[in-house]
Amino acid sequence: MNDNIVDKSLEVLKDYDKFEPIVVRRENRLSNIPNFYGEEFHGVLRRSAAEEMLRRAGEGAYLIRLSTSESCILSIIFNGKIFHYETNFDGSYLINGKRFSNVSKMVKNGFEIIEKHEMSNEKDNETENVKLLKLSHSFKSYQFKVPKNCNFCQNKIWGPFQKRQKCCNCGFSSHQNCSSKFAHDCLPNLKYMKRIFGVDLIVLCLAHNAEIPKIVEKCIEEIEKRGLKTVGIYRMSGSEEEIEALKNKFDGGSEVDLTVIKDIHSICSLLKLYLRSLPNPLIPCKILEIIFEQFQMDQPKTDEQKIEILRNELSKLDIFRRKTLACLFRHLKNVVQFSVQNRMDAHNLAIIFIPTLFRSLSIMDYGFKIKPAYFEIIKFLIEMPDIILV
Amino acid sequence: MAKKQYDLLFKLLLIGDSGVGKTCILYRFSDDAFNTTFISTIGIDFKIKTIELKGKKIKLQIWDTAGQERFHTITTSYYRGAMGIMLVYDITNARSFENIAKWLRNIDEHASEDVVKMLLGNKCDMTDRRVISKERGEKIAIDHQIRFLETSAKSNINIDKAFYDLAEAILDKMPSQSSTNSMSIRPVEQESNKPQGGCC
Repeated sequence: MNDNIVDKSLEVLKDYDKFEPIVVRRENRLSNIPNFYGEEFHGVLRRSAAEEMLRRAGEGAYLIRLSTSESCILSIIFNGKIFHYETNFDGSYLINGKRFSNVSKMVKNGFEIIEKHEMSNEKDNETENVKLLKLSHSFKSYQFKVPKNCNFCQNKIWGPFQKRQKCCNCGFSSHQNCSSKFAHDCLPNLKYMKRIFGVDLIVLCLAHNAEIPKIVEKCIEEIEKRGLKTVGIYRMSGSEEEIEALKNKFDGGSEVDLTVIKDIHSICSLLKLYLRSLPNPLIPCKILEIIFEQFQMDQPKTDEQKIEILRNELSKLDIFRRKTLACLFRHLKNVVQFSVQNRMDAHNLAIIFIPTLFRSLSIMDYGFKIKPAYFEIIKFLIEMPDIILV
Repeated sequence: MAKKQYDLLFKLLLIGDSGVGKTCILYRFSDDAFNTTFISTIGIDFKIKTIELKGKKIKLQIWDTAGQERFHTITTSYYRGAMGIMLVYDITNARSFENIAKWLRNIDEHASEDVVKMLLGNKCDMTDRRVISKERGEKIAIDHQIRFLETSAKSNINIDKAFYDLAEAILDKMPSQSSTNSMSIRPVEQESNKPQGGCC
């Protein structure tokens, strides 16, 4: 057929030839099998059942099934992990917009995609955490100027009555009806993100492929370099205009050079603004409440017990939050070490960082005083970030 | 004591960037004290002082706000009730002067229209570290048609004057008081005599 067009991708596939795909054959007879699929076609099969069959068959096994929503899915096991891809047939086999002349080639391409995916994630050994997070797509209605294929059903998204949806984090686009069928497999891509402020911490970290948001890292680096001895560091307000300009630069995705910003207070304010604009605070309200309750419970707690509570609760956070918190508090510890020069002791920093980090209004009692327990939380974190945030 | 201890109650508000000395100004005025500790205000706080002006006892309820950005949602809710606002900057800190525009916008947005404003350039005792000249302060005050004073909470320069001036300005703005009983609500006779007209 049209093999010469289709098989360009084969050059890349060479290395994957040694993994010969294993067909998981269907056991029972099926009527109305599409003539373009062979014994690998299992008809309607649940994801969990498919995964079990693949595991039994072992490395390199694959099968094609219909999901409960009647879309055609290729399931493969590779490197011990199972992946499910939407697939389609319109004369050649389609997957992720690529065409193949037969199923076997398509499967090999699947291996390649997985391998690449693994490699990019192996940069840090926290890959497991990334996988476990299962980000869901954040779809928004979006006007496509040119007809586009739906990433789910491969049909064109077209016509005035079609509702279109696009994930604003990874650029996945689909029909509105299809968007609800997606698994939580969003892999954020910076290209599609229009801003940095107000974006969820996990999404941003995944997009940057970093453990800590770049902006946090950059600000802290700069403040460590030249702000530690500045009087009133973190307390003084920065220039409103400069902060706004910096924020826009970061949002626009351009490379920002903080060394040219003369006023260190603007950088501090920028960092505080970023932390405040997180849709989910660095320490989520729920966890904060649990810590607060445990601090108050039963008889008065010793410092050791409190530290243990903090350690316990904060270990439940995702890896990005833990790393970011650790980075921030190690830095604040450094700031406190220079408190003779900068006049910012742990208490003073706490006044500033309590409302920045803990968003809920319950931190205040009547008369707008911060409850002492919250001071304690911040003080412990500043004093021993490495012990609490392991 | 049945008799009221004051004739009028004025609500004043202190705003401005973090660390310009709002709390220090208030302490100097209310307790005649100066404290060199370096601690941020949490949310909002207030002090009361009764002064005498033009033969009237005026109780000043002065609200001191936190300059920290994070508290702005709390502090802005206090703008509306304020009759006078003191906007403070630090003459040794150019940034706090540049941000005046932002604070004025804040006032326009959240405070009532007839609020009396006053600009204070604090820390005027620190002549060797001055970066904002008195003229620049005066100019911006004229541009926005607000009162202006340079103050020092540390050396007690112009602090009392600032509060008295502001209170006087509010007093002058009030409808003429024929009796000391001005706080009570009276039917407005004058207005009913006005010629009928206008829209609705």
